[in-house]
Amino acid sequence: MSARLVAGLTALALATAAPAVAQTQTVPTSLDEARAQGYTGRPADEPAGSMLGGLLAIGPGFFVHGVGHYYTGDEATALKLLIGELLGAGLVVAGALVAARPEEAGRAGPLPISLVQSGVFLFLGSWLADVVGTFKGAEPFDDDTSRLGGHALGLGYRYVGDPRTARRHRLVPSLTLDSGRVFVQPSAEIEPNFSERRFALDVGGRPWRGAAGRDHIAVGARLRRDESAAFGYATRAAEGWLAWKLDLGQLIARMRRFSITQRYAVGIEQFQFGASPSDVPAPFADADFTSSWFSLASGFAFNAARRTHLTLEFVQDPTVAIPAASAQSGLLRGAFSHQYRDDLDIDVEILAGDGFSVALGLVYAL
Amino acid sequence: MRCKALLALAALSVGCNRAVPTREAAIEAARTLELAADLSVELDGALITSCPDTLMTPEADEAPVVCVRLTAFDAEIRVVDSGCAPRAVRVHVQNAASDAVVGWRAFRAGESTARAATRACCETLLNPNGDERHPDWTPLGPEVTLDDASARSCGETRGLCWTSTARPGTDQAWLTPWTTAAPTAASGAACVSLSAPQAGTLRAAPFVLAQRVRATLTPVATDDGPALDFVVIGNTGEDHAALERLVERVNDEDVPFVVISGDIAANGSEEALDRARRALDALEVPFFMTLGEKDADGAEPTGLVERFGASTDVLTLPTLQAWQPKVVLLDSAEGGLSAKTFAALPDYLAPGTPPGAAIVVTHTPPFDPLGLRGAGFKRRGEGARLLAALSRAGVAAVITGHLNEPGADVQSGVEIVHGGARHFVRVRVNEAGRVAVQRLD
Repeated sequence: MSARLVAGLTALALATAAPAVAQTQTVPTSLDEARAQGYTGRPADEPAGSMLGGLLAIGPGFFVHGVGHYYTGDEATALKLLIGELLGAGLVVAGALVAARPEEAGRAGPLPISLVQSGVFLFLGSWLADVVGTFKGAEPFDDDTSRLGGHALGLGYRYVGDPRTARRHRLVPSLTLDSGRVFVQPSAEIEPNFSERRFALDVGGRPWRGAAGRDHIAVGARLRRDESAAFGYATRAAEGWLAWKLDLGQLIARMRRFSITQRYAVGIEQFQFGASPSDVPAPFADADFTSSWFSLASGFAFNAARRTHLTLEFVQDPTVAIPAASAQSGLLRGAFSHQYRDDLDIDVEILAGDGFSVALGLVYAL
Repeated sequence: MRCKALLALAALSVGCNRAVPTREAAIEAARTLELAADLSVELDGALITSCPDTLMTPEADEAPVVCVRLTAFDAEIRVVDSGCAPRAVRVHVQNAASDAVVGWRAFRAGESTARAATRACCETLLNPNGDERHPDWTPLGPEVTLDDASARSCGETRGLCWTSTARPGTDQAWLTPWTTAAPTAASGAACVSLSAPQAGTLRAAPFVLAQRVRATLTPVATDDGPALDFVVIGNTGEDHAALERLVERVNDEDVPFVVISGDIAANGSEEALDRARRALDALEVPFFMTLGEKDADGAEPTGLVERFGASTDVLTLPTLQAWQPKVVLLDSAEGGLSAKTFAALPDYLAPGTPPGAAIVVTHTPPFDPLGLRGAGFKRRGEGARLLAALSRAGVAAVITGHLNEPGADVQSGVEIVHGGARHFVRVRVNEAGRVAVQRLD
């Protein structure tokens, strides 16, 4: 006990002593001293946050986006936000018009859902940018610490809160081999008694900026095999996807390091049915039925703290662990990734829909 | 639904598991009704519903009124009386076939040791009055039929109605026309409540007056032999005039019943549901209904069970022949099936006695034939689970609503018929289990 205590106290003493040793520069006590030391003040085009402006952005600003920025004098951004609002509303109306021709809805495919989701995303996004930007002012968010590039080994656990299945616990191992421009990620999701299992292989690349840019475009493919020894079916699926992440700061100065994300996927899936509910067909057995799907995810990503990256997304994906909240809506996905050490991340993912799913994972950089 | 929306807005709160009353719970609750501490009503193939405004009861009548909606062609309404005084219950039945027959039989809900031994040995030989539905009860007499004129004397109100009277003290019971005066306590024999040792276990068992409403479907002759026809309508949504038009069309067809595949209301509001129910009340034959997302407000009941019956059910079609098809209604209004429905699916789809084809009617198809649109089940794994069960059970056909384009495809050997918008689908099922589906405009 005493050895541990001494070691701990010594470490604490060293840790607290270190800054004292490092502080060689005097802290300025006046604005003049600060200016003498190089402080230049806030640039004129980067105003401080405004409480009243933020409230205006919340209230009347919901109907006329950009009111908050307009109040703080940033008229150019206010105009961009207003255009974003109008564009978003236009997309929603266009989606609704396409969907309003029910007999032809089949020919439109995923167009209505894509238009509506993109429109809602743009509408709410421009409003949120107005509110956040006005409250916060020009100070940027923390640097994006999401891990891009490098190899990693992941080990996770998922709990599925879905009343339709009694098999709620899943083990989620994964391996990521990421060169920056190209990555490969085999993964699995296995119920402990092996009655539900999923194996997947993701292969993708970032043709624009690679791992250098936190905002990027990525394309990829996913091969997936699902097996259910509880309900007697198996599937094999191939999915192609396109995803992008864009730092909003490139469009709105006050939203630097606040990114928007979007992912589209199209897949085809072959189903194999067993002779009994406990019978899982072999991987290369004939398919009984083939069907395709489309999925879409839109959201925001930013660092909520210096080493904690947060992603919030609205997801329409019929292949995830739980069903959408209702027949006409989707799921909310929240992902939290904390860089506990340079070589260790703690990941948490929550899906909320008709039921919920919580995944906890550790990612070790190799 | 609202809970889920709030959950979504709260973004990432860990699920919403508040105890909401579901339609399934409402269906279960509607299978029984407690009229007094010692008097209750139990239902098989029927659910408690609200009484029509036009239903009149004699003045100063203290007999309780029970209104039920039939969900099967062979239903039983049991008045279970644990007292001994003479009592009456007025029963009004909705959704009965025009040729439905009403019968009754009194029981003690128990049996003597000697009777149990006889039954175990050779019931049909020594105890010909045994009842197939209640083999371990003691019948107090043979089944008696209420004449048709008496059963249909409900004044201006459609349906069947009667007054059921029981004198448990003397093991007597009978059905009389609705207008019969209810007995008073003084009008019966002396009521002496006996304890089990005094009366014997059997006399202490509850007195049950089982009232059965039965209809038999008559097959039509076709080139392929005898067959049964019915109509599936649905997907009228906001177009209420279309629903009224479809009801008129159905009344011109010679079919014994109608199945509604859902989405006949503009939204789940009480007003929209009442409007839809009024339109369906114009049908001249019984209807059975599963729900679409436009009818339902999430999984909550909002009066759906009361208005339209059980949205998940098995409807056996009695033919008096060596084949008996069934229609399985599966509630997929939420874009999937509930845990309870999934669990019961093997029973729903199991071959009946006598055997016959199974036809499934559900609003949302397991998979959208135009996949990219995603109008099938919300989660593909659940679609696969259902399709695997349908395929293994050899279901003859699945008829869906939801999609606005009519069409048909075969998924894993199961014929899936998409009725389309404002649809009118005529289904014919024959002795060999073959199903022919014709979409009519």
